[in-house]
Amino acid sequence: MSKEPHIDILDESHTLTVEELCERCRVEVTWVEEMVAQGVISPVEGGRQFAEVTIRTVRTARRLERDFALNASGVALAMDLLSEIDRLKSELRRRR
Amino acid sequence: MEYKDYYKSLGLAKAATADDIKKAFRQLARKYHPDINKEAGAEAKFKEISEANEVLSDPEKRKAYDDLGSGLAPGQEFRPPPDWQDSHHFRQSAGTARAGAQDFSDFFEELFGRSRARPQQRQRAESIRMRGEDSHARIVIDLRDSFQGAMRQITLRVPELTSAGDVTMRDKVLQLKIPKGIIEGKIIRLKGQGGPGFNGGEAGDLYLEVAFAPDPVFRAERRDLSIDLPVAPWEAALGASIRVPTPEGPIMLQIPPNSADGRELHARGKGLPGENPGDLVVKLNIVWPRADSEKARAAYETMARDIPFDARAGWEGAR
Repeated sequence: MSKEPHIDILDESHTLTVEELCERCRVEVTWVEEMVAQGVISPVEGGRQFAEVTIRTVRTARRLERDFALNASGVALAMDLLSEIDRLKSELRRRR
Repeated sequence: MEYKDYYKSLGLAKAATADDIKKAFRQLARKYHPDINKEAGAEAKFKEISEANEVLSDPEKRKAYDDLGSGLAPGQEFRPPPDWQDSHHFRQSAGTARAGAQDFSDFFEELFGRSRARPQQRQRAESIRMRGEDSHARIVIDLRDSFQGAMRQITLRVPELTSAGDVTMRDKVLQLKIPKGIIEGKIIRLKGQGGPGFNGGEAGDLYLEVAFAPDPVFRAERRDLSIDLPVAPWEAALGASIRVPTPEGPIMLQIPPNSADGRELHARGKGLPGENPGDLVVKLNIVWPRADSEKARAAYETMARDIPFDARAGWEGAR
């Protein structure tokens, strides 16, 4: 079977409510609040809406938490270091 | 079905203690976790060690695995003993359920996986209306697909609900339109192409994260492209007009006179297309001809004699 499905490129205009984000990522609202408090994710300006691309961050955070038995600040630290590594790697690629 | 040597996966001997196993798994997990190690093969390795840990860290499963395994070599063709299902009943640990049991090998599934997960899912399917799970994957495309847009066929392993309420995996082929100007890291959402919903719930979505395969000519950084342009010394010194490839076809780029090696020239709007197209950054790389002919040697000698030039002028004081 082969068909052409409808596609969207996610940008700032695609948002989810906190409840939708929780349902999509199978997490609790309190967990999302903790990640917001740690600065791992942030709602779009002025509210309880999140960019849909946040799903990617949430899933990574959730995996790190589970696979390394991390607490919330451990997750935040790992996420910060990983994004710093990404930044340095792309800087290195650019200079090469 | 191939026999799996779980001790070897974790780099352990059969006599390993529970602490040894925990430690080995944690060390390897830090090394191969797909969120940490983006290299090809890391994810497969992580699955392998997770599966090994799943069995060896559970005393009951480890005992059963040990009893089974004497005299078997990894990769050897293997069938479980006929009475296996009757004599062993394993609890599905929380870890397995979360990791998604379908990620593990047939060997694992046959011995430790089957019996438990299904009734739970069936029960859930009967009672609560639930949205299907989203699927997530990475799609590697050619950078040049972004120049004009392209059609690509992708094959996905997707879960499907059978009429009996079981979840099975099948291959699904999709024609995907790669939009012109897509950039790395963007997420493409295909509505309703994820896991099936339960009890009338809507299907989940499929999210594809875009990555570019390495390109021999261009490097991409968000919407900007960069390219190394080899130039002859006289082109850099005297200035030149050089043909340079861009997504929309070649352009003639003016090299200003007295350009140094490594100089970056920006061609505005000649990067990846879009509402705000990126720039093309051209980095000059001066390539020197060898002095291996009479004429070439004479030319270098003329320069040495006639051009007052101290390559190490900046070293003043260090000499």
